Order: sequence, then structure tokens, then C-alpha cells
Amino acid sequence: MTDTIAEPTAVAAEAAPNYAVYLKAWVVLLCITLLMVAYTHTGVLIAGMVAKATIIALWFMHLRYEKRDFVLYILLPIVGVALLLFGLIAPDGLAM
Amino acid sequence: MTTASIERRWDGGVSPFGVSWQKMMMWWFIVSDALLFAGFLASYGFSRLGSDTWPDRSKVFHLSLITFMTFVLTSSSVSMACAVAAARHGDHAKTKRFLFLTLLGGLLFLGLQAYEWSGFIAQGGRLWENPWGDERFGAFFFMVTGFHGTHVFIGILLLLITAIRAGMGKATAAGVELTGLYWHFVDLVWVFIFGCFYLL
Repeated sequence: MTDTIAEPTAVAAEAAPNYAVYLKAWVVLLCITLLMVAYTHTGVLIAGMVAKATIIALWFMHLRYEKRDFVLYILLPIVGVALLLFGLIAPDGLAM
Repeated sequence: MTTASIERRWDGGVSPFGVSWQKMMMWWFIVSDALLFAGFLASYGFSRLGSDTWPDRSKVFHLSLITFMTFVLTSSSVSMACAVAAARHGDHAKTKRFLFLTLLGGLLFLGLQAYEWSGFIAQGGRLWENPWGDERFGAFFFMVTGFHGTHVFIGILLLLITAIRAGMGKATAAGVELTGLYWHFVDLVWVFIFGCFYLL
């Protein structure tokens, strides 16, 4: 056990908080929302939801800054099970 | 990679994912909670696809109100992200101010949802029946938005605690980030509820 314990949190003080990136994300999120409300076409809605979720997860929840292994570890179960539920189970309703 | 270096990597003490255990626990909670809501929305999709009498959402909901609620929650998520950035910078005053804004957004969202629920109930919407069509519609409405609203309520409590701690100068950047993760997740879930339930 000669390894030093890695500092696990990435909370080292940043030079200056970058609020601009969040303001940009805000504008993009609101534009996507308005687009979804204006065009309630299924394809637009699915693309809009995925785009908004991606922005929130990567920028707001900082997955952009985590290790790739951690991101895969978190996202694969969610995306995998969600695809299973929405792709294979929900459409079974059509057969009812 | 040699065996020795693999052993060194996994021989305890090293954090292979590079996150604190607190953040890991929060993410595990988020994964399980995301699957809960995925289950809700998938079963909603199953029931709706299998029903001939599913109500027309435009006859039931006031889309402008729901869009405004979405705007409020998205905005609160943005101010939460700013609070996390301010906390990382060690700026307690700004952290407190952004947390307070986030808190206001959460309270406004919850108030609007209470207004929406009372309208839904006044029009005859019940858990087991509703005037618009398939009786499962009411059950899904109350269950999905109710679970989400409960999450918002818990988020407000977390924000309150974090804001008070920030006001006392006791909030750590890591702690504010955990509250942020939870709050962003609540916003993330709403993205899918708004899309699947109100727009689709």
C-alpha cells in the first residue's frame, strides 16, 4: 500500500466561474422546448428530449468532466434498460 | 498493462472512477431513480398504445401553463449550475444567492403544479376515473406527476439546507455539487415527463 490515496473529488478551485456556458445552455434548452411545443411531431419530440437530456447530463451534471469509465458505468444501465422498456415492452401495448 | 500494475490499480486506496464515495452514492441513487421513472413512462406508453379511448391531451391540459412550468424548472436548474460553479470558486455570497433563486424556482414550480392538480380534479379527474376517456389516464397522471412533485419537494428541502449552510459559510463545494446533481436530475426527469405525457 504505497499508493497515495487519489484525491477523489474534482472540486479544486477554478480560476473563475464560467457562468456564460450555463447561460448559453439555458438559451439552447429554451429554444428546444419551444421547438417541441411548436412541432409536436413524434420525431421532433424524441430528438428534443434526447438533446435536452444530453445537455443537462453533460454540462449541468458535469458528466463531461468525469472519467470516461465512470460515464459509461452510469449511462449504460440507464440507457440500456430504458431502450429495453421503451423499445421492446411499451410497443407490446399495440398488441392488446 | 502488466499484472503488477493492475494489482496496484485495484489494491484498495485508489479510486478507479475518480469520484468521491458521496458522489458515487448520489449517482447510484440517480440511476435507480431514473429506472423508476423509465418504468413509469414505459408502462404509460404500454397502456396508451393499447387503449382506444385514451384522452386527447390538448382537451385536458393547458399547454401554456405546463410550458411555463418547464421554463421555471429549467431556469432553476441553470441557477443551480451557477450555484455549483460559485461554490467551487469559494464564493459563499453568490452560492447563497443562486441557491435562493433555485429554491424560488422550485417553490413556484410546485405551486403551479398544485394549481394544475386542483384544476384537473375540479374538472372531474380522479385516480380511478375521468371524464375524458380511459380510466388509467388519471392514475398515470397522478402517479407520474405526483412522484415527480415529491422529488421537487425533497429537492426544495435539500436546497433549503444547502442554502442555510452556505449562508453560515459551512457549505462545501462538494456538498453543493451533490444537491446540484439531485436538482438537475429532477429537471432531467421533467424533460421526459413533459415530452411523453404532455406533448406526445
